[in-house]
Amino acid sequence: MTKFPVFHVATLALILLVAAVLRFYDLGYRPMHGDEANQAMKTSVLLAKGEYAYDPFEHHGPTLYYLTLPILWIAGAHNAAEMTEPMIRLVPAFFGLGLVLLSWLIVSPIDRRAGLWAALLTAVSHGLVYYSRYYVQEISFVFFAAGLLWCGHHYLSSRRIGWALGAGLCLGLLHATKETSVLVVFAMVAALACVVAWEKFVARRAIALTLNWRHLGAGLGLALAISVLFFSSFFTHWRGPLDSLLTYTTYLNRAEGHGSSALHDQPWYYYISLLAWTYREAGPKWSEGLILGLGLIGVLWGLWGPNRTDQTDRTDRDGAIVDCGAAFPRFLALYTLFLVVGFSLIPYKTPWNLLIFLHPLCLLAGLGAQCLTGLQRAVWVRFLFGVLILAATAQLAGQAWRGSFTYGADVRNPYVYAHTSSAIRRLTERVTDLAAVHPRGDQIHINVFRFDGDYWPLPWYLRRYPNVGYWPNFPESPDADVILTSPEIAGALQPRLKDEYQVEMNGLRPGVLMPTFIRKELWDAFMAKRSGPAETAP
Amino acid sequence: MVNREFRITDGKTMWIAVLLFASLWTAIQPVHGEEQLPEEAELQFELPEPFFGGTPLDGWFPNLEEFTYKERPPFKAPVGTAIVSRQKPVSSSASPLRGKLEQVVDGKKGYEPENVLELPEGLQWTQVDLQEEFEVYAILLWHNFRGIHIYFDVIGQASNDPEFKKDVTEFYNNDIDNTSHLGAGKDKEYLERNYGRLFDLKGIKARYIRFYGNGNTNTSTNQVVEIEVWGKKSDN
Repeated sequence: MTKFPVFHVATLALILLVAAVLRFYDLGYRPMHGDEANQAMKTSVLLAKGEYAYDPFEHHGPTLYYLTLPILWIAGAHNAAEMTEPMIRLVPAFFGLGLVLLSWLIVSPIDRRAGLWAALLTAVSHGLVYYSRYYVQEISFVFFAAGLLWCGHHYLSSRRIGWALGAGLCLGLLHATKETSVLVVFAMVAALACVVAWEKFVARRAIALTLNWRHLGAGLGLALAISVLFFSSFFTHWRGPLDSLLTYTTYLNRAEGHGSSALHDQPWYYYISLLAWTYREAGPKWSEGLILGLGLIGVLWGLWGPNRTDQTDRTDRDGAIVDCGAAFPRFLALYTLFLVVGFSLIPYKTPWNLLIFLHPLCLLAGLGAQCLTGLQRAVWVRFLFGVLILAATAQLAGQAWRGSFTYGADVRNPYVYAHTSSAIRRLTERVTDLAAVHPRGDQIHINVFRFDGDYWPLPWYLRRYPNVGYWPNFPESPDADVILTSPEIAGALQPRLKDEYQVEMNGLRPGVLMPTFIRKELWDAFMAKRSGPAETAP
Repeated sequence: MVNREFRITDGKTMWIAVLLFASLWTAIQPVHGEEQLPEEAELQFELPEPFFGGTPLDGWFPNLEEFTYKERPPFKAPVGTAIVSRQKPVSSSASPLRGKLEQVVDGKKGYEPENVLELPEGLQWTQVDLQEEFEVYAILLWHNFRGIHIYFDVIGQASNDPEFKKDVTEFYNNDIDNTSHLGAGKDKEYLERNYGRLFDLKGIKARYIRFYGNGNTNTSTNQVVEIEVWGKKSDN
């Protein structure tokens, strides 16, 4: 009877606790990014009206919206006005926490201690923490890819139908989450093919990849069913599954940087440089070099290392290996390399797109850390490496904390991309205060004149107010209690206004100003309620 | 038609002329006890390199100083007025997130990252102790001017009280809605540029200079690059 691994379980519990604190603490703190607001408003329509139709030109798959519903039901929200940032961000936070557990589950069969290192690095990675607090599809996408990896590996090791169905479930959810799932699946298949070829021609041993058609059919069938279920909006929008295929024409154009997508074109080394070193303006220096460095050691060990495994290779009657456990680190290394190369070659780049290979890099970094701390002969060398890596990990955790709070919406943070300025709080507080003194309260009339459509995340922040107009051009009478506009058209707006206004400047994003016109009598009523000097200044 | 001949010997005319002359003479004489205005000279401000980036602001707004690329008109102050803040002690309402307090008076005013002192979000202040009372004629304030920035609730105060509880002279306040609870201001907001923001203090006597701030259009944190105080030793 094996002894219960108390230390191992306690360490994992501690890692999960750290991960939970980093992911769940004060989820409403960071202002909403325009993309988050967009997703949130789509979810609110689904919540309030039960309506959702997949849009093949913008947005991603449906899973995020549907998976948010249970949380909103439990929280008692019925519409956008009753939704809050913490409610919706719980979804990515749970997936982010699940990803830490998955890291341990994926790497532990190779090496138990490496599993703990992988879980720890996943827990404190700045990128993975940041987007675990971010209401977009990315972290759930990475979770489903990791789930597919875990189930696929176990299926190939055990050939049990349960794992095939698990892999099918993850594959279906992966496809229903984001269109780039095809790249992930391609990288997995290519890595698997390379491992088989490697074993055959380099290691001179054959891996038996005999297909069990029943298992394959069951897995793919479930994947297809899950995908259709979500894309058809639970059988209410039958064009959805077709659009989920037609969308690739749009995405091919986007990947090549056509049209407005060219705004997001970046050089091939963008992702690596983002991870290695970021220093913008005054502020902290950011680096996930620890994960990159240890990940590189993990890649080298995976490709050419001894491939130690707790499992012994099982062979069939012909002597071919049926248990891929020994080759898994090599597969992981190749899969990660293919993803890094593939995504780096695509001109269209945004910071969150690197998560799909940052996570497997954390898995490899776990192996790399174990190389340094577990394979050395001298105890003092192991200890020294262990202390150094733990210290660097603590620094990573500090970085993740700063990146989520102090610099959560600050352009100096490498993961902040076209983000709403924290100055949006000033504007939303102002509208709240104005509504409080308005005779009709939340019925306050607000006009938004930003003709280029660049007004997100305002719909989220103004969701409480039913009388908000987002105009594509000036109406005959543009007057309102509050008018939000842009400097470019404010000059054309002012002569059209009949009423008198107090004008103040607000910020939407860094460098993007939002002149705010407040009807004079409303401003006066608001100022009348304001207290005079008080002992509250620092 | 009557031809009235003007004669200097005409009594009435002569008295009018005398009174007129006397009033003019009195008007141009200094009032008893008032000193002659000291001789003035133009202050030579050293400016950092401009930052070229971001879209210039288009349009005019009543609560925003009109942005200009023109040079600032010459600023004159009594001869002998010089920088009196360089390397003087600096304090703040909170520990800096980035940079050191002494950077605010080190004379390095560029937009480069290493020149920026950053304080946490919310209403914060930075204070310079001139170490003795000066007649302050001008203060230049630089916030971060890398890109378009408008800083909120900028309040400038001068005092001889380090706590700023008594004898406080407020020389600038653009907190029009009294967010700071220091009283609503009437000054306009402004766009940062390499010229800094010049404040004319007209010889206010003070030892301490304090600037408040409450975030900006880009971030809710507070950034100060340089506070440059120009003054003369006070006669008191």
